[in-house]
Amino acid sequence: MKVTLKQDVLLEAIKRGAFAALSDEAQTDSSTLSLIIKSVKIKAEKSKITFESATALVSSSYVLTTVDENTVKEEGDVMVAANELYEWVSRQGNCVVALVSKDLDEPETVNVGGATEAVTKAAIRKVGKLTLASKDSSKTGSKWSLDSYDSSQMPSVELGNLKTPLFVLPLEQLSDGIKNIGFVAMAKDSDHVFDTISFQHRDKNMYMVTTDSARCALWNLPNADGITLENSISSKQLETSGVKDSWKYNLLVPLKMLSDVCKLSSNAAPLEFYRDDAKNRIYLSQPGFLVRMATAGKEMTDKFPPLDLFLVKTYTDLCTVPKDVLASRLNTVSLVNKNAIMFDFETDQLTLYGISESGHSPCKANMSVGAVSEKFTKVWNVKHFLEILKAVNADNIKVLIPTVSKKTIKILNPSQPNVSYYAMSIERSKYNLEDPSANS
Amino acid sequence: MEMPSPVLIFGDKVLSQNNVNAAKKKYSQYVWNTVSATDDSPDLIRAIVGQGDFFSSDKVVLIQDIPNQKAVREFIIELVKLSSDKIKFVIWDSNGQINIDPKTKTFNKTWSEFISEIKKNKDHKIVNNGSEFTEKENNDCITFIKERFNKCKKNISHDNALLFSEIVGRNRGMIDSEISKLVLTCPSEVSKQFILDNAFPSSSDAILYKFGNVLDSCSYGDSLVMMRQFMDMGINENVLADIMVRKARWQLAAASYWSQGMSWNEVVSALMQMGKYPSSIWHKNSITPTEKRKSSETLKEVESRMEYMQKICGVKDWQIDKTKKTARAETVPMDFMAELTTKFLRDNIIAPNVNAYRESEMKIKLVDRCIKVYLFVLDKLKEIRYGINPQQDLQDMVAALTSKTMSTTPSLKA
Repeated sequence: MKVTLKQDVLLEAIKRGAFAALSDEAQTDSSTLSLIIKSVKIKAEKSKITFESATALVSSSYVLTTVDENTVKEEGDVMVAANELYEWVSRQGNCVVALVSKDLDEPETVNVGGATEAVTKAAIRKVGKLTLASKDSSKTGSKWSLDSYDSSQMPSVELGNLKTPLFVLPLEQLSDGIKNIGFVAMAKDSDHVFDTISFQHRDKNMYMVTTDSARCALWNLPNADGITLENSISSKQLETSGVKDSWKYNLLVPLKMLSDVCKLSSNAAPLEFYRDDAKNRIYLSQPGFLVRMATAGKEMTDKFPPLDLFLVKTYTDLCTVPKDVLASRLNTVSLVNKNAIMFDFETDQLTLYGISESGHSPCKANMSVGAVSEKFTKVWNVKHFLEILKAVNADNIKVLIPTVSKKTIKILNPSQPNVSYYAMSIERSKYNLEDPSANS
Repeated sequence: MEMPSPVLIFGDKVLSQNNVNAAKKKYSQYVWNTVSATDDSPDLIRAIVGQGDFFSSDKVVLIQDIPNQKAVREFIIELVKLSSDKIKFVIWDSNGQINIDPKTKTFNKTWSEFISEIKKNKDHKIVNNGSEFTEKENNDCITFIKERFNKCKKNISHDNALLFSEIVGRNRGMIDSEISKLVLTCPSEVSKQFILDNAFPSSSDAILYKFGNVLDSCSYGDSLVMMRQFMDMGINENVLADIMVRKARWQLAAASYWSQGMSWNEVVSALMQMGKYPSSIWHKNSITPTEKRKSSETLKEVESRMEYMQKICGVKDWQIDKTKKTARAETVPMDFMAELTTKFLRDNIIAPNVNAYRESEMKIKLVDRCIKVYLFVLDKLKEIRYGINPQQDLQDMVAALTSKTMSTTPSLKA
């Protein structure tokens, strides 16, 4: 193989094609196949160069069309350590990089982590060297080489029989959604349910939903296109038959991976979402760029709340609260109790109470709010409020309460109509809800 | 599937962790929240317990790291009482605070009150995984081992279960995890050889069984491989050298008994009697072995031993130096070790030379060989303690012990 590419083009291609190999999961892998998992396969053909990598959870593929200075002088393929290649290319600056492979006379078996030669499946074959050479406008540069392994051991990433996407989303809206509601999801969930973003569809509207089971955030995607995902379960179905086979209408995409893919994708084209129902795999696709990822087991998807739980419930306005003042008061009262604080809305005031079992004296703070529609007292998680306040870019937040079963609260951002936040109250606390003044 | 609550899990750490993992799998429809009663504030724990849930209203709160503090115990009991039926509690004593007194077989007052409060809840469940088996609970340990093997459809005899416990130790968690590993490859009837080959040794006695077994095979190569394996595992050279000295001493004792005219079966019993205290009881031919054991049991305490020496043996008070500790005499821990020692001498040393010497000459030659080997390994033990190349010294010891020659071993010549 012999190719020459501009440094910035090559770097972008490695970032996308070696997305799986550069992930934390791959870089910390210590299995006998770790050399393959940490490697990127580069296949050069006359008109295109394909970059591919794969781990157990994610695979990625990027096809670069050869034009101008990016040329293939000799076809072939190599498989080299992705991180080393990425680090070397990223240090080159504005220049042209040549990748030239040379085969060994006799392939060598590489044993990793004590694997014996008898374990033939785990044996990785070193087949050659890939020479990397850079040259800038001054005709100088650097030269390095990397071991090249047998690329036939790397599985290919293809859409296969999947022809119709579940939906197509404009990248800008998707990125905005992740920014506005991503913080609500858990950082890590052992079942891989609450560390995902759920995509659900109701009455021709696509929604992104995140939750950690105690709070929830909804992001409406008005410009979603080509929706073939099944309509989400209705509240009537929810009441009568409960939730079954929720995986059909609920696409759970790992949040961190989706966020990374969005950053790597081009704003010029929308992102297409596919699902292989039999293998329970999700595909995200843009022209030339394809990522395949594993998702939560079908039976675990039932744990994720259906969209109708939020859309059907009616809420009425409670009041408008100045964002910065509320954040300041919450920070003060949370000195006493970092977890649960009582909110008492009355007339045109919000009073916050903090009591603790750790020996601190009770703390109280109040603030003026817009006219309160009805007296409302509940205990809420401090973190839930503070994080929402941080995400809201307006001066005020709008607080709504449900007309029945007043265990939740809805918070709206007046300058961003696509987003809504929900939080569940804390029950069985030590606070005296009947007589709030007794808490101070 | 409805889950019992509250569930209190205590005892062996590994088994308790297995219980928790199994419960998480069995009741996966619940949302599990884990809190630490030591590191997390009561405010946080109460908030997690009371936090409403959007969809899956059933949740489990796993409280672990329970400290030995009255306030925390009271807090947990109150939390469990006040919470709704929708919230399940698993209280795991992961720090091992709840212990059963081995003498009274009961909990101390503090924890028995806590447990009785937990028991007041209708759907409670108490999971006691027990603690490490004591020497007195040898039979319980063997029953536990047999049951665990039987659960995996494997049989193990009483003697082999005893050998297994000697090698692996008496810790329930270690036994359980070792059996889980061994049943993957062991035959339906677990043999002694399989245990010796595969069970992971947890003490110097256990290493003695495994290493001694290989030395008795007379294979210099296999013995060296095992020696290096133990050294790679971090076993000190002195431990291995001590084991080889003990092996040489037993061989010398066996050779000495045989040269005095004992049959090989009698040599085995004589080796097992070796080091039993007091000799005036153990060497008395007029009483049965059971009577010998019962009589010696009463002399385990220092005071009763002094009384026995003065009143029965006629030793004067001034003749006993009470400031010195009595060193434990050399004993062969298990029957099969004595059998292996005699088998080694009979099959590997005497049999190859049976045509070279008459029996009377053989007896002298055998004792002579065993004395030389014993003195050689003893010298090497000293060199290991103060020397600079312990690995070479260990190799020489292995060479001496595995040599089949009757006269002098190659190492001894060198």
